Amino acid sequence: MRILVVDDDQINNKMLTKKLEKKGFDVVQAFCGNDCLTAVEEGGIDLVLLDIMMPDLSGDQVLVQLRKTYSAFELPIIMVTGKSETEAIVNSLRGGANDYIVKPVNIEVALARINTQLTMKKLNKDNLQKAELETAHAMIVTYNHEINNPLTIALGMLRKIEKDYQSPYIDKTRNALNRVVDIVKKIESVANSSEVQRSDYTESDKMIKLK
Amino acid sequence: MKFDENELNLMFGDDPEIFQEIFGDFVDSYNQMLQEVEKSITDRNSEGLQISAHTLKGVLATFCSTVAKEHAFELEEMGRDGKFDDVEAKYEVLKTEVGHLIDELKNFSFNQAA
Repeated sequence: MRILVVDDDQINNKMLTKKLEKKGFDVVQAFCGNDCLTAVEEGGIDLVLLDIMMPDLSGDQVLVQLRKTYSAFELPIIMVTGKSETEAIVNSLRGGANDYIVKPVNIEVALARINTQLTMKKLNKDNLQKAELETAHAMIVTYNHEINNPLTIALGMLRKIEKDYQSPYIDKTRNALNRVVDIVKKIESVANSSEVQRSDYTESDKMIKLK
Repeated sequence: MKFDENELNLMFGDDPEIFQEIFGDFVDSYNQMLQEVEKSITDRNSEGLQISAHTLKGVLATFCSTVAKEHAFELEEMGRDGKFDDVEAKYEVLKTEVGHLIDELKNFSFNQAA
């Protein structure tokens, strides 16, 4: 897990970084608000520890910018603040911060809060994947039902026609309808899988990969 | 004592090497941090005073300072409120207390605390 530590105070930044690294985290440092935004934009950040008072952009200003793009589940942000800053803490929580820790940072408290936020992030991701899968499954069941009915009718009518007429167009029609039957079966197999894979269809649309 | 021994042990007892490293950084940089506070006072820059004193306060808290941290906090509040009455005198007290803190921390080892 990669944590971004944001504090203009190099000593505190280094202390927190080294303690987190010792606990097994991959840590990226930023020493001002703008560096924080750049680091997040580059990607790979799982959680931000964000100092409130900084000279260029304050922690709250950074928080507002980040929350325009990332929800609290997508990018947990824990504010790091002095004990006397109750009003600042409340403002940050209202602004979308997930939690806060107080300086001087007790590493065990910090770890407990970090792990809570990372667990919630993972649970949210798992729930979204599950919801996506359930939606895809429901759609497949619905469309298969809607397709199967007219398909069955078409194939039945074709067999009746074959009894009275011979034509190469009947074979072509049967082949085309049987291809639709195959596609319906493949779509059903997607409903039974535990993962939905997608590929690009157009610039803005994705399609589900059929095996 | 100019710092809380028990708190310092809780903070760094398991990580004395981290303490040594960042204390070394502090010894190298505290003069510059104090100069930033002093400059803000000279310029009567209240926002600058608030931020520089706040930063120094944070570092002093990291080393579990009891006295110097409170003086830094006073200066931070003066900066926040834009009040500069007796600010030079308060700064001199802060400077002295930071010096005392550093001297005591230099002589501290982690097996001293009860």
